[in-house]
Amino acid sequence: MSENDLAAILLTLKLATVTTLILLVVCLPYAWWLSRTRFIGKPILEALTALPLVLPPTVLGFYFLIFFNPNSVIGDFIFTMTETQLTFSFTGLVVASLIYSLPFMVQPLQVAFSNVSQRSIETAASLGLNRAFQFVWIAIPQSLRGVFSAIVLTFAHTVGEFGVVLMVGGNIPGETRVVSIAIYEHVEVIAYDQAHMLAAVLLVFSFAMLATVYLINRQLPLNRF
Amino acid sequence: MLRLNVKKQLDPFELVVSEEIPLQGVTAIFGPSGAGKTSLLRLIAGFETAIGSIEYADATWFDSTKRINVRPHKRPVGYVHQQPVLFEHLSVQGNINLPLRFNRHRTRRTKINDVIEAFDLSNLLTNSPATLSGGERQRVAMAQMVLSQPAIMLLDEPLAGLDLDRKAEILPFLHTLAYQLNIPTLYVSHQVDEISHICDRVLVLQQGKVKQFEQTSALFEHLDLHTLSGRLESGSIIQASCLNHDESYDLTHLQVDGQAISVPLIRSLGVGQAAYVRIRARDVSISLSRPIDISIRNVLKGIVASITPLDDSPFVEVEIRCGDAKILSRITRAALDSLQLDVDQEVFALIKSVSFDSL
Repeated sequence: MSENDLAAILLTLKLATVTTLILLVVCLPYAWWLSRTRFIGKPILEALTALPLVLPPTVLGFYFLIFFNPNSVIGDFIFTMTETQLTFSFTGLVVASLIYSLPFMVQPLQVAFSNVSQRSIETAASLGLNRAFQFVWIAIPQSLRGVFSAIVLTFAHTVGEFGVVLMVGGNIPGETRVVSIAIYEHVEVIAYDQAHMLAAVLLVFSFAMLATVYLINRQLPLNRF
Repeated sequence: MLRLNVKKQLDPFELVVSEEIPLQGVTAIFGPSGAGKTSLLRLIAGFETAIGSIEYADATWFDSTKRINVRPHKRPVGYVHQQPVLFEHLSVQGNINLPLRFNRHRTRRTKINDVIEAFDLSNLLTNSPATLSGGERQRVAMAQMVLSQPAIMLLDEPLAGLDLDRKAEILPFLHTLAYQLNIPTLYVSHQVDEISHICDRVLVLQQGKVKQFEQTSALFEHLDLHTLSGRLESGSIIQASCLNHDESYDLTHLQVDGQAISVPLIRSLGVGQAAYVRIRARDVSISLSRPIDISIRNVLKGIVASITPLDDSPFVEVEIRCGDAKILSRITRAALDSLQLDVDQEVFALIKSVSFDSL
């Protein structure tokens, strides 16, 4: 395997890890809130959260370019504030991936949290646990399967991302050239051997991840502490 | 005093309670299902809001005009559900210890070991809640609640889901809760025998309104529960509604589970109004077929729900279920054997005498 391809694999893993960690921290409380709230605008928020599931990645990428290119108002503002450019950069890829993978984190969490019974939350409250403790000590431990599924699905989905990366990040080695882009490039220049290698890596990796999810979900009914 | 002054729209009626409940002993909240008993407890616990105010001793827990609503975890309230909620991801020990980590605002320390012993849980500590029986779950829930050191306990029909044996197992623990720990308690139930066992006073709720609030003994006098010796006699109280009055025979017809019974004329009872009738176990005989040439007019068809022998006596008590109503009958063991009665069998309860209260 060429050094270039190895770099692509490492970059992909880095992107997926960073994206998953950020989404986990943000979406745990967000999904908990969504599963409990009677807020009137909840369907709108749910629809917005699910939007990346149905939109073609090119549409996301297109709007991302429009809003975040350095000549746009937002892109210019971000550049002046942080001196980072969000298009054709790793940071930009992370931001795009956060949006692109959002539903894969939120939805399994929300489903799991919805299954935490209101009565167990009320009982926790009457035992003296405030809202934060109810969340950390009751809701999350009772939803471990969902948390685990959300992490793996988000990670795997980010690894498999292509359209958005191509639109937003392009193909800069070590910066935005992830595995899916590298495969595309190998095929373009008819370097099938290298394409085979990378494709096989992605295939085996994705299968292993999903198999792990289903295996662990079966064995993680009620783990006691 | 727990001062309740609350109004809340429930589905078919409005819950209106304006009472002062002494912070001592056990107060039963008694009434038919759907009378608003659980809603009242939930308001006190802070799980729901209403119009009005709730004051506990010197503290205001809720006041809709002053926009005060103390959050449930800040109210020193212990709540036990009808189906006890245990945290399935924790062991029994973990469940019991949980409140200890978080009771900053609760000052009295009760020793864990005393509680574990009081509720007889030492053999269950490492178990998962999933492996426990209904009675064991209820004991764990109560121990956990006690360790959160509540200033008032709210028990929502803690015996309702249990069979007679389990009830007998839990009742002494309830007694422990109420009197040894000396924590004021509100106890929701629609079972007269439970209330007569452990409650000092009874607040009767019907359709969301307080119909009566008085000492347990005073309430039961209305229903003629006492024998001459002053002991409570076994029997059943069932809810009926008034069908019509028959002036020519001086009778009032009541409906129980779609079946009619008649009692001496009660003019004060409006048609459709709910009434409670008390039927003593010794006034109920059992027949396998509907008797025809007999002077007893009140015959209810039902199913045998349970048969309980009475120790050191020739009698057994047979519980007969007619829809939601349960009627106790006391017959001799000899009669039981010759009729070959068994659970789930269809029988006719012959009721010799009925006493009545419109509440």
